[in-house]
Amino acid sequence: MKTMLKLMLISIVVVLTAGCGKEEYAAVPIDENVDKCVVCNMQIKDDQYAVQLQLKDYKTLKFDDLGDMYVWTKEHGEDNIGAKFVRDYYTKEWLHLKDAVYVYDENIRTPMAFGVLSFKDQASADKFVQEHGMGTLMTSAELENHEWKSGMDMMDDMHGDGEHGHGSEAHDTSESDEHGGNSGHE
Amino acid sequence: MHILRSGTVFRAFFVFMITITVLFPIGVPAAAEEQPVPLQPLIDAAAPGDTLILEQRSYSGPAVIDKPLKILGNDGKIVNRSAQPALSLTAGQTQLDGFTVLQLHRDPLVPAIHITSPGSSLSSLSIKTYGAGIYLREADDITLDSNTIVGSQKSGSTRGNALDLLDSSNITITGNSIARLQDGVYVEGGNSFTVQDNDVSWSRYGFHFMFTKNLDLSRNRSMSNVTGAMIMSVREAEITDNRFEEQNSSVNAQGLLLYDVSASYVARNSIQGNRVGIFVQQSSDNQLLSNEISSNFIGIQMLNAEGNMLRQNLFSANVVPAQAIDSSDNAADQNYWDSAQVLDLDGSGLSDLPYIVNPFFLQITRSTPQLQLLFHSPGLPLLEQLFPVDQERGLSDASPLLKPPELPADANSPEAHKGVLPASLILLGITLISIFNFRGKAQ
Repeated sequence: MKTMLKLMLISIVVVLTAGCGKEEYAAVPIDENVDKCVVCNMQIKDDQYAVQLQLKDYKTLKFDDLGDMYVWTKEHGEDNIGAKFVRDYYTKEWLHLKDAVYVYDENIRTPMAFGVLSFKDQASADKFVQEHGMGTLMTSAELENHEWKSGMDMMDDMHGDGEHGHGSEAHDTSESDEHGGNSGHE
Repeated sequence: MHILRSGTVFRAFFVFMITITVLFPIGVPAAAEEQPVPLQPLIDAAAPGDTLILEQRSYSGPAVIDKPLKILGNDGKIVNRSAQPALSLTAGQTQLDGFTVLQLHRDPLVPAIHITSPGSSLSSLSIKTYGAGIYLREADDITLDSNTIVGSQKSGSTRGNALDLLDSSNITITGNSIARLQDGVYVEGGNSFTVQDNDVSWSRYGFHFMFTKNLDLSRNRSMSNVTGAMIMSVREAEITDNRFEEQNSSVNAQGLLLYDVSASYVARNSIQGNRVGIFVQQSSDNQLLSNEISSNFIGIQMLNAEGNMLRQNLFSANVVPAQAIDSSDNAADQNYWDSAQVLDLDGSGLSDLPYIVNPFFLQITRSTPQLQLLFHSPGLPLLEQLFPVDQERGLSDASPLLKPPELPADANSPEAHKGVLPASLILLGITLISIFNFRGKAQ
């Protein structure tokens, strides 16, 4: 009887710890030979611009630019997302998107020219702004309302040609129902 | 009668081979290193508009060219071990021609030549770099012609771009030869580019354009890179007569990628032996005409690409000719598909049966890339029939051609013909000599 109880206890502990491990979303390393941006297809460099999100089924999607992650969430919604990760500009350590501090300037160069950088704390963000003499600080909450503009949109502004923006909006609506169905088995 | 003794023939052949080896050396042993002459004092001493001729010896960089100058090389060599670019052009209207630059500092973000001013021209330079090649930063009206840029053997992130242009307009890039760098030609922003007759191999992307307008990319060749040409967020490009070949050693390799491209014209390109021949995503109002897409694993892949025209293209010997999702609204007709079942009732040369591309495979691999293991598996055709996907969303050719379209005969490879004549003459000569020789022996 005693051994039975022990066994049961052990199995309960095992089951519980297994469950605990699964609950943690964690950033995975970038493999430059294989990883490409889910949105723009470019190779993802193992650099400070790389970001990733994990879906609730622990599938990881990687992007070469924070802006492309917002392009993805705009199209597919937030419902299936477990966690989002960005990197500290200076140390490249992975951070939860909500814990990081951001700096935006249209002249900051990022792979898809969205111009937003992530930092682990206010001090390092301030340091960047001071060093480079440009950039506006943003919180993660402010990112949601940020108008994500890539180099192409700026080109549009320059040439006064709004066709592109309209085209992609029309696209999103025509796609939304299909992806609703898709996300079920993702 | 003896015309030639056999020994003479062998001797002649021997001498001929040695001459060839000497004339076209494969590896030149490094000349004994003499003490390099600092270049900056020579530039400082020159007056604006002067011509500086480099002797056949070593000069040491870095140097800043802050006035209009002509620097002509007589096989001279600039060696730079510093963390600065070997040459920085800050004044414009400078001409560099015919010398070698060695950039020995290993940093992918430091180029051998850095240009921040307009109106310069660089030609016949030979650049060997452990960093990047030539940077243009807001430098308009620049010509880069017939330069050779070679990077390090070490692959991966330590390589910089060969030609890296940021917000520069009216640029001519012709006849350059590039190997072992990150991107051969990387252009971000700017307007009006002529990129012709360049050759990029063993690099990441051969030609990489982002956010540019008005691009003429023609007669270039990209071989054995991750992607031949990445055309991203580009408007009004003409991509013609290029050869994108053998991009097949990376899991993400493709010949030509069009992402967010519109109002562009892609014609007469030869796209062969790639993992994916042409990849088109979120692109519209483009014309793809008379391209030869053959021997690729996947000929053309289209994702959310609508409003494009595909006509008179030749698809042959691809493992899978085409895959498409959400790309139904393209005007595709009169292409030749070697795998299409065709039936021509009225003798028009066009099939009355449409060629329909099944989106099934792309559909399942898009959400779970690992399923690509099933590529060309024998069970797939069965699965495709079991789970019919909405054909409306795929791609279909309304009237495939019965015979391959007449593509401009070898317009893409004129140089292939140049070698044939001399080679045949040499062979003919050897044959004649041996015939006469043996006839001589027999008598």
